[in-house]
Amino acid sequence: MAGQESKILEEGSRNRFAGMLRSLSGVDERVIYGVILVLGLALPLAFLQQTYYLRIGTLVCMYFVLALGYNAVVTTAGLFDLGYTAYFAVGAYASALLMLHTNLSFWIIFPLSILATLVYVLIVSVPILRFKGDYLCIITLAFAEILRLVLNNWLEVTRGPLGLPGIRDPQIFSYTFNSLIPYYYLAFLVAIAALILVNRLTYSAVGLRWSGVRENPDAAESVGINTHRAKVHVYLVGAGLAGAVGAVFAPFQGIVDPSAAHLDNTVIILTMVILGGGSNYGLLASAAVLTVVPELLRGLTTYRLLALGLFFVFIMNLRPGGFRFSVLKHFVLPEWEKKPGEDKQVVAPAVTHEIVFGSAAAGKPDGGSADVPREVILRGENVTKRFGGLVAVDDVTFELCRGEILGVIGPNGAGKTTLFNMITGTYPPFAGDIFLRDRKITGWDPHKIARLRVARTFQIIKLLPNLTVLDNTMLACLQESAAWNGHSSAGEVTRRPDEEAIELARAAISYVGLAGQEDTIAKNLSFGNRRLLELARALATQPYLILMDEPASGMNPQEVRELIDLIRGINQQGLSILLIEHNMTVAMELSDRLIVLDHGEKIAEGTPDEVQQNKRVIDAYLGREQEVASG
Amino acid sequence: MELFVRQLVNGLALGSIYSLVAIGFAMVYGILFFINFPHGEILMMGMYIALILMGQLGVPFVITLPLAMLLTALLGMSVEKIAYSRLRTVRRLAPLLSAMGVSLAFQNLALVIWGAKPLPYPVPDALRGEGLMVVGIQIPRSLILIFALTIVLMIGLQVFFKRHIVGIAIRAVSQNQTSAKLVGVNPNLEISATFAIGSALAAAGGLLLGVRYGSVYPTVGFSLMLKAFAACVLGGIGSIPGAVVGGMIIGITETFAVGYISSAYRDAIAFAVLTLVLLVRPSGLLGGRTEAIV
Repeated sequence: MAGQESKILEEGSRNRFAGMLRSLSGVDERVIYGVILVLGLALPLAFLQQTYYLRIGTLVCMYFVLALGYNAVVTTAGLFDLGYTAYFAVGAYASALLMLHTNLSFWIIFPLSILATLVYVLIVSVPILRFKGDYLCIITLAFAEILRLVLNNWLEVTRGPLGLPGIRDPQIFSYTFNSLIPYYYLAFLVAIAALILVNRLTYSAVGLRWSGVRENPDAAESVGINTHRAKVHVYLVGAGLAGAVGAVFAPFQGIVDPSAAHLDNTVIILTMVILGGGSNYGLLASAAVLTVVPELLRGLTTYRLLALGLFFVFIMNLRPGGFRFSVLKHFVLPEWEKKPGEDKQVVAPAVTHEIVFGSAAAGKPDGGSADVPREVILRGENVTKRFGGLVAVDDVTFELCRGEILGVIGPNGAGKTTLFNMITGTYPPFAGDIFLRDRKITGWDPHKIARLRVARTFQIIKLLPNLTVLDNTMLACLQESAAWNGHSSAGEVTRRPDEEAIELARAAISYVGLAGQEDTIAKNLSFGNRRLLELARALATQPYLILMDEPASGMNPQEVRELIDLIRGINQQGLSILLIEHNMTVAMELSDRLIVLDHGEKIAEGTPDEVQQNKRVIDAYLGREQEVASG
Repeated sequence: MELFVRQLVNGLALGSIYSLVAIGFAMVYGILFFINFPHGEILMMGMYIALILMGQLGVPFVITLPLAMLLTALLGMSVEKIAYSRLRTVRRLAPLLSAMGVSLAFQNLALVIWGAKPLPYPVPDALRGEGLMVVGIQIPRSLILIFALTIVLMIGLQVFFKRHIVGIAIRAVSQNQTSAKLVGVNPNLEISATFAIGSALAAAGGLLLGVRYGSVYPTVGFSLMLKAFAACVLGGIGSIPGAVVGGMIIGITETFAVGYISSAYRDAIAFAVLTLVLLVRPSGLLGGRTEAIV
């Protein structure tokens, strides 16, 4: 099993999926984890008498878990939450209150406290997740501050600033946790469990979705990922870990007080995450350093935070790239930091071009022969969109038949992209309805529409810039397994992308002509190749309909030529295509039928030849002759 | 009824202070699309500067006010130069983290120098006691100062933005930096001016707060920054009139909540209002840039 797994990892990708078993100067990572495990287990034996060191060891374990959880939220999913310590505080207070007021065993209280944290997160995520970026950061900060105020002022329950002292020690059967050794092992166990959980998730489909949320939510939505749900998931994981630490912390410390929800805690954990540079060793090392050093320099707390502040300013000016800064970088070079092309072996794709992407779709019916019944798969009825007083799309009705390439053309500002955005769910129409086959999809979220096997590309390219070509494409294959049909099991959630998905992604990449570039970071691709990658991503969702928003824009004539062949090839595989295009050569050469928009209205419809002869179209593009003549 | 009017007047005064603080916040957002995290800490430093001037050096209030505003303006400009100017082209989190660092450093610097205990604020004799009788209500002199100064500063700001070349240039840069550069505006100057004005207004707000509520402590700016943020989002982010309206709403709501309900959660009220408003109207009351928020 292990052998097969590592083979998948090898083939999967050289960067993220291989993360678990990444080699450190030739040493298998499992050996390193083994050494850390043994050292961690043996630590109490070395310090049987010096309980002070055991205390620090326990704190390191707890901070490590907090850093892991925070890292998932901030680094993996890119959600800059400044109120992270609030989740720790909720767990700690839940645990403390239950320990004080009930006779329940700690082993029941522990999961209950985590549950309390999760419920808290689900509630606050409703307003919090309406925000993004800087706003998210301040709003989370504010919610943590409100929690602190509540803890400070709800005297009957929390005893305010005095805190809740006298929390009893947990028991296992008749053994009471009367020294630091059992606490240390408990924290150590939690740390191991957290590490395994976070690793499983980060290097699985779930983790790739989180990266999608961080890198480009629109792109993620376009391949069927429910980004809101992905955000809630990462919050549940991050906060759950913090709650678990809080639940252990309460009896360990014997007292909890409102300072648990203070911003300073978040700042310290954030520093660990920044220093950790995204790797597990890094987080462990920075958790250790940032716990031990302040313990050695007691009484300098004020200076510590002052120094941390200056450190942030200094680091960000030095390495504005952000969280990738790591002092440990020189010891552990993550694969994604390697230059593209380094130690790369181009493996011939196992699957050739014959793969049929529109597997669900039948072959293309002969567009010319009239006896084949035309099956309408996309239909818009009286679609209208207003922006304030401006009518961007006015009462447009259209149909797209199976196997067809329908072009949408029109001068600048004609409403092409607005129409497109209504079909893809970016925004709802003001009036009118859109049907996919017979299903009304008016006002649906983009990811829902994408899950009906309708792929799209963007006019302004939207990729996951810091991930590889393969990961970008893999993102589109995730829906295939678990979420596709709406059912998923716990096992499927954490599993790594399977060979089939990887094969599909590779096939899509080689189909568009990017074979050999799988490990290139997307932002390093040339402009034309980025467009191709978008196309590969769209194909990897196995759509029967692709919506393309000006695919040729910004391409040079040679690239346009290749693109035309590519799109025609895709169409011949049985995929239907809606093509919005500015480039007349592309639109005229590819489209079976065209509709022409001008000032939001549909002014013509027909084959390219018919449209080219149409008076209104000529007028729209060239201006009205008679007006000029008659003055 | 009398209590109601009294609360309303108090609320307007508090709202005026919040508005002054929020304007600086909104201005920086308007020009750099970036949340000036240490805005509250700059205000706090301004309060301490004024405390030293008035309390230790015996400078009269009339001179302290402009001097403290000037010094705080310099502080705000230096923060921009040191912590943000190199990060202008970097998007996302780097400038925010740098800003957070500045905030942390100032807060703890104040803690080291002045300690955590609130220091009493010297209130000049001229501002003590009752001032005018308006519709049967005694309005304390400190409140009259707050209203007068707020009105003067806001009119001044309006004139500056409409008439002064730098004010016009700031508006140009905030609308389109590239185009502003093409017509010869040096954005560095405009950005510095924005920080200077925002910081000076924050200092004025802080000074009024000190005169009215009587003390200063290292974390005083933190909750003010959060409220200024709430005011800005409430009014529509990046909009200066929006910031004023938002500040007023928060000030009045807070005063009434404290007066009629309880003072325990006064700092949470701003966010209760904000959350409620945003659930109904995500773009804030006066519109603004929605796409950046939601």
